[in-house]
Amino acid sequence: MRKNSRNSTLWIITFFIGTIFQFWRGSQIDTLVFAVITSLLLVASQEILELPNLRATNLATSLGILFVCTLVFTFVGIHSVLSAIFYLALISVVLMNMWRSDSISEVESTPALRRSSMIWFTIGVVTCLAELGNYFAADATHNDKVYPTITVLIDPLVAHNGGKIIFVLLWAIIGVGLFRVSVKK
Amino acid sequence: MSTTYFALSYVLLAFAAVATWVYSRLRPLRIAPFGQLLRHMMISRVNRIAVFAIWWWVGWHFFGQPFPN
Repeated sequence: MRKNSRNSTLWIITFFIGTIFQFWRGSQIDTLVFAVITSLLLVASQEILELPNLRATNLATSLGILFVCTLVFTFVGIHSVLSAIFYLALISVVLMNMWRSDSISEVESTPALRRSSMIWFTIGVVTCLAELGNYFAADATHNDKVYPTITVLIDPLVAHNGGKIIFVLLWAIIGVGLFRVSVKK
Repeated sequence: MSTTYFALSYVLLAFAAVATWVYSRLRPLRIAPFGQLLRHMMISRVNRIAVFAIWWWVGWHFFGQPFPN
């Protein structure tokens, strides 16, 4: 099996498990979100759909406007329909840009990259398992104070404006950073 | 006290992440730095979509979702 198809399968399985989990916990919107992402990954892995590349200037303008609007509406109306619309518009434009074909079909990996990949993969998986373990334990014991999920720990921090500003800024900086490493050189 | 004990698992994971990040900056030939790994990953369309989906969902989950539960 080629490395790319193995990666694709892992991501698809991960998001599929996420879809089942969201369905099980009764979150209809998140079930839909995860199902859409899983489907998109499935289509992307098959390379059966190509989208036209957006022109760089149009992309920068639309992304910039959407990004600012998303941040503004996060503060004006947290969990509002309007902020949801901007979040959905933002991810739509981002994904359209990220849909381009793989720039190089097969890139040589170094031992250092493989080790790094394995360590970060392990940290990611263990984090998910810790989150799941705490979620199920909290559900069974009705005590999310003893078994807190990441959401339970972060929610009080973002409940006031100071924490919200720090969290949203971090989220925005990470997004811009990801975009910078993803743009085609 | 129990809360601290179970929440500690996240602190340990955060510590592991920071330690890996620092070590990879000091010994890049042994463990590739996170930025280098990310650039390598983002060559693949599926990886790009998955990574951005995770990033976006964090913002959506805490701020965007209209009817959180």
